[in-house]
Amino acid sequence: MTEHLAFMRTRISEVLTYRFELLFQLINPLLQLLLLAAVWRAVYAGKSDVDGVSVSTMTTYVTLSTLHTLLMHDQIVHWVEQRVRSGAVGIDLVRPIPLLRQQILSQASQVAVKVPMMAVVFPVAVVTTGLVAPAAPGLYALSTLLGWLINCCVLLLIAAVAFWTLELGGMTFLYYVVSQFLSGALVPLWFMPGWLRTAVEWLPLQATVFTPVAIYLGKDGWGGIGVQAMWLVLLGAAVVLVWRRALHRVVVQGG
Amino acid sequence: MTGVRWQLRAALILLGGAVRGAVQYRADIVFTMIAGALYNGAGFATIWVVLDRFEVIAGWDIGDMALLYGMRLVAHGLWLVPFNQLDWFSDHVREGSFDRYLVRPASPLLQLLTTRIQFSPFGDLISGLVVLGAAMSAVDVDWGPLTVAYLVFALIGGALIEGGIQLALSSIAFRTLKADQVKLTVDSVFNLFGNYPARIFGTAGQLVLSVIPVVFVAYLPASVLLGRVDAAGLPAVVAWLSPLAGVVVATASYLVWRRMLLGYQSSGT
Repeated sequence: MTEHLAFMRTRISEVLTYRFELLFQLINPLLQLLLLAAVWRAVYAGKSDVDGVSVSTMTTYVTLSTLHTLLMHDQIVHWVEQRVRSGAVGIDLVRPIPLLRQQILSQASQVAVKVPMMAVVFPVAVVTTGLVAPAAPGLYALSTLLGWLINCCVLLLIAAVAFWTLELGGMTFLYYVVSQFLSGALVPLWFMPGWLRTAVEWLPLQATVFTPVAIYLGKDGWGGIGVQAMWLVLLGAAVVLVWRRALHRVVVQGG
Repeated sequence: MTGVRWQLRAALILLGGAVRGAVQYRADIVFTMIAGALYNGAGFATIWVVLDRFEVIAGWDIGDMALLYGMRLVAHGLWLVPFNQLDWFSDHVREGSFDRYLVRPASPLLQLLTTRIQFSPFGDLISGLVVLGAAMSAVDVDWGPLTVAYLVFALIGGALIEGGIQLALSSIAFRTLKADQVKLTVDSVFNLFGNYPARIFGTAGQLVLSVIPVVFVAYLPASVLLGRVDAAGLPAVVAWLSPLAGVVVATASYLVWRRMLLGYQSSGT
């Protein structure tokens, strides 16, 4: 336990080195939030209700999905890529904590830094876009945790590609572009055209942002949690398998 | 010796070198162009999905929105293709490599712009042209010589606004050595809010977007072309003359750049 805490402490101080950069990272989500709230208010054009969804539900959706997306943005792919490319992964391997667990602790460290940052964004978001009360606070918290864990698994799978190709910059960029859409961060699933909604429902990314926010709004319940749990088991198993294989590929190029 | 023609010849020679450097990585060129195009595609996809369900936003249907999005993106690409090296300007100042440009006869700005060539802006430009082309056939506008000429002037004007603002903001780095974050933030505002009818942002929002001046890039000229002149709270004639704003902004920004250059003291590295 002590070594886990020590590891997390170094990670957190590493993230905090760039705290001003981190603060600036908040500006973009805030701008996006203002934009999306204005767009939804405009398309509702005074209607109180569309398909059983009120305009205050939509502005709450925008606020929460922005915060959840911020929580999902993670440096882990970049970190793993750097360690593998530079050969420093050799040092990571001799640490007393297994390599995969180090990555999960790194991801948890980033959350530890990000949550206080969100405390800064949150009041601004509430004032500018509004927020309704949660329909099921306990279930929402559980779903948020599951969503975060699923996101960790997806990112660890992408990061593992570094053991095979050494270059992930383009792939991560594409992933972030596509995931904004597939996670429901921009448009909620209930307003997507039927075919798109079906496709998105069969993919794991909607379980990272859309499901917790839908549960907060009372639009989903234990069913959503069940789907999240299934994805977590599947993706978690995939991560363990892929990382076990990846370790056999480690080539330390002269350190 | 350093007349305009001489400067242009110097620019061509420098640019040739940059192109020869970049074509060593052909796969990377293709990939960055595709990534740029996809990024813009996601922005438009959001508008498309929302309008698939709601049909109009502040009276603008999908064709109108595509015209606005296409005009904004083409203007963005038009300034970014020649001026993308401004993104690295702060680095040049901090690392002292900008000092090298000052002791050579060619214009420092021109040397900066021809240091390297980036291909992702071509992705912006191409995807912008695709959206704009599709929009032009979808909207209810009579495309005659006059409207097409207005469109071309609007695109150039929009490019001059975005480029001018970024040039002026870059020149802050002459004093502070770093201006990246403020540039990125302003760029985000243009990229996010420039694609929507400013009316939806309320009176305060329209005022801010008129001052920055995001609305002049595509929103005002697009509203003129679509025959629903919306001046975002300004006199209607301003919307008609919006393509000229680019000339004003670019000239003022170049003067700011020159003035800030005079105060440059080098980072000492």
